[in-house]
Amino acid sequence: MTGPGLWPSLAAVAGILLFATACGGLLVRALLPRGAGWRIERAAWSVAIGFLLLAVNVVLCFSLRLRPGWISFVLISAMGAVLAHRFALPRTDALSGVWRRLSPLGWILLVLSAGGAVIYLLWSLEEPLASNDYFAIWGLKGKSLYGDAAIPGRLFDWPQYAFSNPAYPIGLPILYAGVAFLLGRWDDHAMALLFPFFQAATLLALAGWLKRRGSSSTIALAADALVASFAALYSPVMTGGMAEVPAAFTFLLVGVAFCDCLEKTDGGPVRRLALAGLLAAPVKNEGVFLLGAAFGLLVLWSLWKRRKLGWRVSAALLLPALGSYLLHRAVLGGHALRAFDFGLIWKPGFAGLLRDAFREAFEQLVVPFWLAVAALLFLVVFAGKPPAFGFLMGLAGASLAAYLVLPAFCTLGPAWLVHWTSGRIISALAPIAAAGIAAGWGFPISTLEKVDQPIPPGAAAG
Amino acid sequence: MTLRRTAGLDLRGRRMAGRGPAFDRRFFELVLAAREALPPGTRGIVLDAPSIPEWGGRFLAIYELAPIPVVAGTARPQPGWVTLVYGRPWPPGWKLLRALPGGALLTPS
Repeated sequence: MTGPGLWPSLAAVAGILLFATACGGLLVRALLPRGAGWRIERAAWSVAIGFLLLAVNVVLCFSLRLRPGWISFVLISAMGAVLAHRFALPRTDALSGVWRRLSPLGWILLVLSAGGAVIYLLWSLEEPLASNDYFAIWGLKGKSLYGDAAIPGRLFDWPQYAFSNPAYPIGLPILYAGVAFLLGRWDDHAMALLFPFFQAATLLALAGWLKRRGSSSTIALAADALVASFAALYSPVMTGGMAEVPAAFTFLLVGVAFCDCLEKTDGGPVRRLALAGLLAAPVKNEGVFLLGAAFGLLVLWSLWKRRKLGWRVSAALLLPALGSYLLHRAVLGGHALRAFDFGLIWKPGFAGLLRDAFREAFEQLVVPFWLAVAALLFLVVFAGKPPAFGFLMGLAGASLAAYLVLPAFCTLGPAWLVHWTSGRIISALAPIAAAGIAAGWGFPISTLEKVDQPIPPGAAAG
Repeated sequence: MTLRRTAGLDLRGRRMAGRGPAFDRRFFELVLAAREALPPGTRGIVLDAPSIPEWGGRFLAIYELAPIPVVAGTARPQPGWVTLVYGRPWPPGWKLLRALPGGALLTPS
């Protein structure tokens, strides 16, 4: 036997992720204020910043033709911490975010949430990352980035590597490489720990945001329990090693930061939105779409409210989306999405393809899960309608609509795309949709006029 | 539970015990053996394994051998490249670099 067993490698990767989170914790003061009611969200955003630091370490070192390592990581984190200290947000208490004594139902929901997370953790660690898309796309790129200590041009230029989808953003492979450079070797079993880590951060962000914005602990934990046990997303068989679980986390961060921007909850939501965009756009093309959809919602909101388009919020949405797209084109080249032909829209048979796409989605994704879909519709229809519900469900709905139309453009046929990817990417909308629905059931119904008023520091948010 | 059974193995053993190579574990053993038997300075591998489908092991093999470039097919390897043959007799007249369980590493003579 050669090489370490699982436990030492796992401990090492856990240590790297926790250290990165701790570094993120030094930077988070520039995004979320200190004060009562923010702690859980700060933990979630610290994880997000930690992941970003791991990726930035790789990108910066590659651009300087250096091998990424601990020294560069600590230096980058230290520089970030100094900047964050300079731009720290003033203390703001969000009293509604303070967790008090839980009801018996709250305890049950907490146990269910924790149980879902533990099951996903154990399930994820059963074997090295093993999905075909991990081998063909995400893992191959990550391992090649690490092995070459550079961006491997062959993966983007050689036709023999077209199967690895060169048009996909490489945020996740860069994160894989970032962990491997600090670990000092490529370990695709210990790397599986990333995914429960993403899930835990998602649950923290979801419950923390809901509670801070005025939900009861019970509603916040109910949303967590549902998301934690959503096996269509949190399953190593369905999404192991792929981008959906990270994307779900970043989509949620974009959604809640977008709500906070429009409802002006505190001094930091535009910064949070920019950071969430920086995370979402390089993970999946659907992240770029989500940012575009948010910009569309922002335009509609501004027209409805008859006020000027907020340029800071617009920039926080558009710069990461455009930056990610243009950087990918500049460094890796322009690539058409494999197995898609958007010119089909001009062909006479497109209406039939669209009909096929909807029929396949209904047959493959609705009929087998009709009870869950019915329950979801009930929760959506009978929810209250605070603005946050509209914003989040608008984002989730726009994405869902796009994912349902997309199979009509698939050159392998709508049935193929629905079968292999639609369900997976739709499942990544679960946390953002859960946040919207829980906001509908848990937020105080504020009037839209109230929403325009910034909440003064020291007052309860939401 | 798989985790308890395999946690003490090294990474290679855990990969071997998992779902990834399930389509044809013998092929995956060959890939691992080939990785260790590559001549120094090998610049790429032509993977000649027609019985292995993309989603049943070819992607895993390409991933496992990364960052060494791997191209599937029967093309004649470029200078510095080798051919890894599995599941069929190797072409006559090629130089055998290493016989491996179930296949071989070859180079044009």
